[in-house]
Amino acid sequence: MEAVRVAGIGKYFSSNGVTALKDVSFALERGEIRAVAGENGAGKSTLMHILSGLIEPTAGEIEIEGKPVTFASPADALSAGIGMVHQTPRLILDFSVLENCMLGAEGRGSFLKYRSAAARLEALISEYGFDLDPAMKARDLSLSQKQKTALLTMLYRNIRILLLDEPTAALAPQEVERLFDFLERFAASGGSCILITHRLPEVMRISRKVAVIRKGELVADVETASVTAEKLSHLMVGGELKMNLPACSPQGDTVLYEAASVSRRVGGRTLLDSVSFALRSGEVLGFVGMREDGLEALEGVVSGFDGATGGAITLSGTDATGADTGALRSRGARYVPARKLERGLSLRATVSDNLVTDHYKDMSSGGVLDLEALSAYATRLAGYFDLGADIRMSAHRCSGGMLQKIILSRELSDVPTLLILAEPETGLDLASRYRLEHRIVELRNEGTGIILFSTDLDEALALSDRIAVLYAGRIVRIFDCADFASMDPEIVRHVIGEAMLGIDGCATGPAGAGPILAAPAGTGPGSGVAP
Amino acid sequence: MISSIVDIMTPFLLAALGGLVTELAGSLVIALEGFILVGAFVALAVAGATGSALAGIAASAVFVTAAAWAFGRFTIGTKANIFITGLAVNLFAAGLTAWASAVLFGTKGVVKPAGLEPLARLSIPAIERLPVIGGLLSGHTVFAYLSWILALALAVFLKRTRTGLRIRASGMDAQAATVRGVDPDRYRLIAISLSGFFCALAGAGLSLGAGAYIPNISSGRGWIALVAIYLGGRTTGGVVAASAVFAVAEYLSNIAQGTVAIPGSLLLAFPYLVTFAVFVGYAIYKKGRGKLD
Amino acid sequence: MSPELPAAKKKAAAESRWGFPAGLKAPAIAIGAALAAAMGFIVISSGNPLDAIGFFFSGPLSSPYFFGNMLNETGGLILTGLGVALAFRSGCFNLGGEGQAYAGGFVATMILLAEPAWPGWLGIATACLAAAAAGALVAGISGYLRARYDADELISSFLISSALLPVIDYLVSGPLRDPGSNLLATKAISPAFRLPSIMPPSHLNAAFILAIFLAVGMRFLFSRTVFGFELRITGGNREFARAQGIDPKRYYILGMAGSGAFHALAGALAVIGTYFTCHKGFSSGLGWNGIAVALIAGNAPLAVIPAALVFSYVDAGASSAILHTDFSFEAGSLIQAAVFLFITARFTRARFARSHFAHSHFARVRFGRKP
Repeated sequence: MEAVRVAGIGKYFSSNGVTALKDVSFALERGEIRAVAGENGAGKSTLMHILSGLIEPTAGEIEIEGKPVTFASPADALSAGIGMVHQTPRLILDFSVLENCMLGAEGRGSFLKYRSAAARLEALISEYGFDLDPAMKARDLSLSQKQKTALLTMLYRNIRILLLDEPTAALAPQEVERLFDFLERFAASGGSCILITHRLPEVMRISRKVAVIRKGELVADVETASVTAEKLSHLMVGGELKMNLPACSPQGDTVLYEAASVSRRVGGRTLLDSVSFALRSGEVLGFVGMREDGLEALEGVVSGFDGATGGAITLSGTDATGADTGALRSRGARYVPARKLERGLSLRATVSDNLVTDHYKDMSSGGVLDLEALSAYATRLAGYFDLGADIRMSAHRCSGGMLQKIILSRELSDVPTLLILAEPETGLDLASRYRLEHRIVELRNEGTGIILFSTDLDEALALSDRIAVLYAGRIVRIFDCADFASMDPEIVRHVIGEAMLGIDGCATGPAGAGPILAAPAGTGPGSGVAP
Repeated sequence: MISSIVDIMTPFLLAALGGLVTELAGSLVIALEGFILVGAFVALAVAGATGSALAGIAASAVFVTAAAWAFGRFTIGTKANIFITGLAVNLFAAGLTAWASAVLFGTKGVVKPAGLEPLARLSIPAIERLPVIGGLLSGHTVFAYLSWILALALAVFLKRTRTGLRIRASGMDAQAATVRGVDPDRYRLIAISLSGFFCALAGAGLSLGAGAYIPNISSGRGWIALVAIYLGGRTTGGVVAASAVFAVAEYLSNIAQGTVAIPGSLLLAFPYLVTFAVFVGYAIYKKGRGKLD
Repeated sequence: MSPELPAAKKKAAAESRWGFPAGLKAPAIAIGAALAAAMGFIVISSGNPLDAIGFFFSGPLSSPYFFGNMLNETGGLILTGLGVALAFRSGCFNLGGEGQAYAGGFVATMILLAEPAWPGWLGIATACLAAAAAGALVAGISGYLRARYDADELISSFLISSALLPVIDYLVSGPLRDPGSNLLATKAISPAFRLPSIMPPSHLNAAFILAIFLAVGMRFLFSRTVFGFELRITGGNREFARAQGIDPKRYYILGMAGSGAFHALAGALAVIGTYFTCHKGFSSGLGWNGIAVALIAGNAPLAVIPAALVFSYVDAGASSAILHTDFSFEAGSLIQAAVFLFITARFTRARFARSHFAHSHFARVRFGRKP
């Protein structure tokens, strides 16, 4: 029995003239886990948004359990039994887990029946073995708990078809395994699932069939067992992209940036607990972990947005403790923020204005701007990542990928002393990713010190010389990536994953993991970070 | 003393409760002032024509709720900026009531229909004589009791009902509500309509309580109610407390008017000054509390 | 630029330039609505609607007196419109224009009454500068509170303004009132300080020309200067400005202070060029109308000029038509209301799409005041 069948689905966005999907057809059996693979921006998310009722298609039909349906809103999709769990789980943070589940599925009557709802939720939680308390506020949940809550909100309304958008993007490998166990149980009980991912090993692990979308078109829909990861990768990208990065120069020995016992406490909560590290010039130091485990807080402190409440920071040998964004920038720091819409650009300004915010002062005299020079400069920057847009256009008309390119073009145009990169590859297509990696190596060879913050382990592994793992506001481990060269990538992921989950308190890692700077005080064996 | 404070507090509280619902729904209505003004006028005009205060209250509630609904429908439907359209309502209400007053009563000044007495005050014999409690519970018009009942009802409504849950969800995270099949626009419209209902009562209480319609009878109460929402930490209980603070302040200014020789026209500035002082004080306090350790 | 742009992008490019807004649809609808509303009331209130509507359109053009006065009103609206636009561009909403304009006129009058013997140019210049400084101070408080304590400047500027109005009302109709006049007004300023009419017998004077110069100046400020660039970036996204090393607090304070200065200047020039005295409520409507004008103009300085002209034409037309109706009504408030109601409305069929998510974020950036 077919759970879902889509035929000839197309989507054209009149707002920016983009055809996001063209004539996509496939069918999903009941009890099946289907992977949908594709590059960033290929149209996977658009397809899922159509199936979940967030977007109306401009062409094509959808059938659920053999019945044709049209979705004008998520409410329609939900009542047809289709529910979506978004990449960043969309929960009401001030609601409890229970209220989040009840919302939209309150049951009969005007008044809420908290008690019977709680009983039903408890039953679901124990059925699937989730570690959740229905009374907890969503705000206080860890990322994986948030994701489980999002799954629960769907299970609570007896959703039979689950759509999951990059559910593993920010999970530690061990948690991915738990998620997949859940999905297999869900499928075994008759549910069906569509899983969007760009991680091929996961496709091979979980799915029976895999659909590949490239540039809005379905280019393959095949049995997973019949293809190799290489073949899939080829299908996703559509051609061979040679990755020959320029050779690395040996790292310098001068310490460029040093954080000594940096802490940050806000309103009684400890966000960073004496974090110490040193960055040499010409080195990429990658921080991985969950956003709420200190990644976000450390990004704030390093970028000068938030002050440290303890400890000291040195940049190029002089004190930079408490230096704010402007001071750091004038000392040669550049910053690509994780929250790009908030900190990375202004949607209300033009692309051109967004490109020149780093240099407008150099192109002015007596407070008056040289518009021609600015425009020429912006045009030059726009070419760097092939922005492919009129730079006079307002930024709010750009896609997410274009916005990220604007930020990268601006921040990576010079050779900064210190480069702070947070989630730099979000939304980028492969060609731009390649361009970015190329540029990072170039900058590293020029002696730029780079601090990378990433929730995506693969991204961090690809870019970093060393990887520091943050857990509960502390650095629990610092790995030297040179040691990973000869290791099986899956083992590497596993080792780092354990550190990210805080289950690895012991200091013995792969041979020689840490010829590095002294581990910060208090992060030694069994320092009590494990729950 | 307590009795007078309760009287002053009633319209603040009603308007602030109405505004609170819209704030929680994520679509704060700054048109409270205009709604109060229209509510006051309609209540008095209908009560004057029919001789029934109840008819006036009902007409006012129906008319202003419907107007608020239309306002919300337009603003949401056209994705207009609700601050700007709210200003439109405030500006229009002043002109509209003056015009209607001229058309219906032939004056733009005070309207006092013959035969319409100020609303009766209910005294509760057993309690009347008690200190504090007597003033708190006895000797008010029906609006004071109504405002308390409605405050309680609103708290229950927001916490315990499906619509209340959905209104709060719409305000906290519209996207998250949307993906749960809850249409935030629908619940915002309900909230905006409710604010019209509450402000109609606030206005009716003012005009029927005095038995007359005085131009600009709302005199900034809708604006001060907005500050009360903010000051009350966006909770029902907080809004009640904040309304009480403003009522005490205005009561003191009335006392001052009687004892010190401050010209009446100057005293018109007083409520705004007090509100401003409280507003700034609260902002400073909040900023201080969010500080790093 | 690339030779072939899709239509949608071309439109976007035009819209985003900081001069005139390319989108004339919203202003046209808003003004149309204002006209319709005003005429609707005239028709209801008038025994002879056709005549009244005739007066509506011809009134402002019927004589040099009416025409000049309309232009004179335009000059004031340009100034307050620029003031509102300046605040908007820095990311603030100045809702205290009424009080700032009144205070400006009051301060100017006080200075000119105190020094009647000064040469004309000195008195006028001093009065204008002092008024602007007073307005800057009053509005700057709100900017400071926003920058320092994150206290909503929309509320605080409104409260300060609302407190100022009765205080000045009291002063000009009480202690400072001219005992020899039956108006609620101060003494008249010396003739040496009065700007002469350039279209007698109307009140049109040099203030109109100054207003146009200032509009051109503000356009230059926004599009060609470092200050204007930083102000716009801050107004567009405060966090982003900070990440780029621009201090947003500076622009909140300066944006609001500049806005207050423009409002106060409008008030001062109304005294110096039109009323020659500070009478009770003389500036009433200047602030609200300025907001309407700035919104019609999409906060683009040069567009403020035609926006003010159209607005004052509708206003003057309605006022002259009302003289011929049976029931007078506040034409000003009606027109403001219609403009405010329609100016930000979007009449498009495009439903939902991707914009649903983008829109809510956008709204938050623009007017978001989540605690």
